Amino acid sequence: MSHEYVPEIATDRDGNEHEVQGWQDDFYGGKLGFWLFMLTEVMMFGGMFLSLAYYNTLHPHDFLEASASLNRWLGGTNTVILLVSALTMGLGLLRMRTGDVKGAKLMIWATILLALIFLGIKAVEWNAEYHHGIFLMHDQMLPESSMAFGKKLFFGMYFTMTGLHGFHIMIGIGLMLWLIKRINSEKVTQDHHILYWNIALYWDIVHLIWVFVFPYFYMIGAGDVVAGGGHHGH
Amino acid sequence: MKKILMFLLITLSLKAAQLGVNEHQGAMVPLDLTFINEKGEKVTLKKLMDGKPTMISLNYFRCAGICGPQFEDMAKMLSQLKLAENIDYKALTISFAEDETPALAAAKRKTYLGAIERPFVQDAWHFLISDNNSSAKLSKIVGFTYQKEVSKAGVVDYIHPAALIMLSPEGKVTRYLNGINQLPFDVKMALLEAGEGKIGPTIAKRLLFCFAYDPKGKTYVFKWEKITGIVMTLMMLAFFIYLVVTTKRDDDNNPDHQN
Amino acid sequence: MSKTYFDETHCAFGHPKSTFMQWMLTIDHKRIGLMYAAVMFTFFFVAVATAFVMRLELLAPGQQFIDGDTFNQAFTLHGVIMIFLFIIPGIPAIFGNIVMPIMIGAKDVSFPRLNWFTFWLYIVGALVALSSLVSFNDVDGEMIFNFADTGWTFYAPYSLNTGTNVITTLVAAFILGMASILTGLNFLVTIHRLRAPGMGFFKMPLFVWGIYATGWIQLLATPVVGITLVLAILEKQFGIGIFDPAKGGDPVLFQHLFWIYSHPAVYLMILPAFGIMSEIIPVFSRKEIFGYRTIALSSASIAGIGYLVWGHHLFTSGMADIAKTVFSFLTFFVAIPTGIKFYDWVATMYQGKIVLSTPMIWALGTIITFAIGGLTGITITMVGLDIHLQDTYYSVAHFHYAILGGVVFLMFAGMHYWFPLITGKMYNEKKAKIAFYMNFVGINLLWFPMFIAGYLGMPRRYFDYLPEFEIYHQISFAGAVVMVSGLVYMFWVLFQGWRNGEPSGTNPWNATTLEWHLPSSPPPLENHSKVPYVDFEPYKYENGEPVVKFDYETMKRID
Repeated sequence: MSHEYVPEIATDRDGNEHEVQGWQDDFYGGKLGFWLFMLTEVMMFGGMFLSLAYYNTLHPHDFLEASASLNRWLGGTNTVILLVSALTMGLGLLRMRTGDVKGAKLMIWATILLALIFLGIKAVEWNAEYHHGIFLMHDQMLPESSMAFGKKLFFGMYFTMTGLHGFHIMIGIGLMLWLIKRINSEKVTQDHHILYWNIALYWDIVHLIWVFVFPYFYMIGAGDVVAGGGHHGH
Repeated sequence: MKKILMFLLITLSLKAAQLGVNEHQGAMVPLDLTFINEKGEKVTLKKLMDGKPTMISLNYFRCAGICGPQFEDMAKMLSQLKLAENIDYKALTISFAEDETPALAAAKRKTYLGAIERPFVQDAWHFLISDNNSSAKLSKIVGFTYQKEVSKAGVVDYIHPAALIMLSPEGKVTRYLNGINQLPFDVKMALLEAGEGKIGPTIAKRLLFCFAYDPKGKTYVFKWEKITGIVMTLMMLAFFIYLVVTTKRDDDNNPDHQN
Repeated sequence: MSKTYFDETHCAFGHPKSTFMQWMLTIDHKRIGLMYAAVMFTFFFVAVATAFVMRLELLAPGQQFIDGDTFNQAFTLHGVIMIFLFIIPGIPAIFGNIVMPIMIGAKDVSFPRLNWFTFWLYIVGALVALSSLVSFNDVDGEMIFNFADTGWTFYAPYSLNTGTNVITTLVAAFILGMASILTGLNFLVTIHRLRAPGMGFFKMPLFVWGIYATGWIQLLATPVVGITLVLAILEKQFGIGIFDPAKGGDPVLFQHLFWIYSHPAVYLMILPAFGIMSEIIPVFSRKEIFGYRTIALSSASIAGIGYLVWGHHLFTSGMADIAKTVFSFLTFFVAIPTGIKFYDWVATMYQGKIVLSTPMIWALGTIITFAIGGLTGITITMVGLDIHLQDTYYSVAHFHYAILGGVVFLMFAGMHYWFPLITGKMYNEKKAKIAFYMNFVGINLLWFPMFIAGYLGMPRRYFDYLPEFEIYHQISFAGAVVMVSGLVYMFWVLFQGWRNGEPSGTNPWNATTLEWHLPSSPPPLENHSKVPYVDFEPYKYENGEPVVKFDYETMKRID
């Protein structure tokens, strides 16, 4: 359908011809649409950052302490992993545009692998927090526990935001698997790869969110700000 | 006239003593409270109420004040009350004084049952005295307050208000009708309410739909707004039905017509 | 007879033969708009009936028909249906879909399959909302009416603690919000990409401007309430602590996050409606619109400034005085572009040849009712007054005059204006006018007394009230009877018009915009025979007659 589309021509009163942009085969429109959709994702996480910043101003010390107790090595590794995965996704797109379909698919698989490792490390982190008594509806996070308000709020938002972010990673993996399927059935090709473009953009936005999540949760407690500094390694 | 003056006097002294009825609507009276009846038998409230909505008056039998007028009014009211006594409701007059006797209760009962102007099932109205402080407990739960007064001669009297307290068959306090004079209609509506529409003839149940208790006027009033609302809604629905019917009629008469 | 969009259609996938499946799978913007209309008006009448039950209950003090808890569920149901299922999809879902692409000379929206998906996403949201009406008893599986009783605003902490079906309703609202976002996205890309050659932004009809500004609000504001609802669900289910004072959370934060969307949402509702007004006034004044550019830019500025005023819903929540002052000032400010529109419309009518057809009397009636709604909004923008009037019947009257007397009345005006376009028929003009008067009298009888009652202290969302307010409720009830009758009658007139009306022709109003230059009525599947070249302004009239004329087969200008 989109491959056989022939655009209409409109003629003005002076006889000049103008090509009509139809809804089919609108590469620019497809990009614009997806950028707008990504704006909504930014607004969603933005709302959460707003709430986080509000509670931070109310409990600055608790936030620093709680942040220091997170594992910066694991978080930092995850940041590098996502960075590399954004690279692999972008490289794959470039290969698709030059016609190297096999290479493009390889890059997508690499991205999926990196995403899975990210989720694995996240699971390790959450597991460690669970064993420290810090998890939703558990032990320290219950209203009766003695943990300070600021820390409860910090961790409440930590699980919410890393959880929703992880959920978006999973969606991303699903989208990439679907993309490979579409490439295999030749619906996505060198000449028609708007889907690949948009999924790569999606992945970039997911990474962008993490670029804000990581420093806000992990890095604010770094250094000698908190007595004893550093972190607990697990 | 004498009654009114007495009532005023009592009310004033009540106010002075900060006594009265503190309405505890919705409070639950335990049905296992026991009282001593006119024969000297110990009976539970449950047995006395016999699963029926019950009106309770709290008095004391040596009362020389408002109890007499209240009992007289109750007798008059019960004569005119358009419900089947002992089937639709029970009436209990309970003494809150600590030292009354079954004999006195029996005597009072005889007097006032006798004042009822029509054949009346005797078992419907009992006069009871406290057993093991049960009257005091009951009074507290329903918010009925009273004060003991010992005169110089050593005579024990009580200052107390007058009210009929309605209990549902489960023992829930549903309505207070304050004062000595009660309209039979108000008592009927209060009992219907207490019985949650499960007692009384069907016409009477419909009345519950149309009447509501007005706390300010202390009587049941006809809810004309409710009726008006229903009538106007029905008129509106009739308009909608009219639209449907004329559409159908139009279609049948004129299959190809233009609007 | 040439084929119309009722005779043939494009589908999302497959080539179904049955008419039913063709409607289920259609990606044609006109059919999708009609399906939205059918579902939305059904929900509208359910919500109207719920409101009527409330008015009936409130006719006298004390309990009449329903108890207090059920009353709370009733006003929540009324709000949730009206806001999430009716007025937010609203004019964009119906007329944005049906009319906007034709107005810009396009054959459909930019993403027709997304449009199809979005409609069914809306249906899923509606079904989830329906499922939140009932719960099943743990003990014996008995079904009970357990709809949320929190009000449509779901304020914490009550929404977090109540045992009614709040989570399901929040999930439904989230899904419906997604549908709103996707509609806005689709329309934004459509307006950017698919305008006919030559049609710059300042040659677009003003209804398109309205849809455009609305699209930005749908896109940027809805995600904020989306995440707020998600956070509320997570709080209720997993205790994340963000709104729970027991963990240091702040319930007022919920209010802020909620209103950061819900205030722009009201501009989302009114901007397309103002677009309809800007279409109707020039046609029925037989004159070019006054101040085209200012009306266009005012839509954009209302959308923009509207993001900054949400705090006026929280004047009584304990905000700092400086914050209250800033929000109050900004709210006064956002009224100015609306005022500009009103002056432009009146200036358009000045020295025009006014034609009092049904769309025009709806528009004129709305000028009155929305003016009342808007001006009373200004009164409660004053912080001192709002302290007294917040959460009274004054607010209720204000927003009903603005939403019902503004958005919904203009939706009805649009229905009467574009009826011949969509159906190819004409309704009975006389009966349609009677329906208007019934609605106009009804709305004023219903809500004007509430201004007074609210001023005298009648609180909103109250099941019972002091006898001194009774007279106002009684007048309101009479108004409710008149208004509901008017609503039903109006729909009946339109329904009859569709079944039995005279064929209308392609341009019964002798209007100028592109949707009236189609080769057939109802429109063909792909709208114009050929996409025209647009080198003219949208509302050119000379001596009461349109200047621009087309040959409908070639879409070349012949004037």
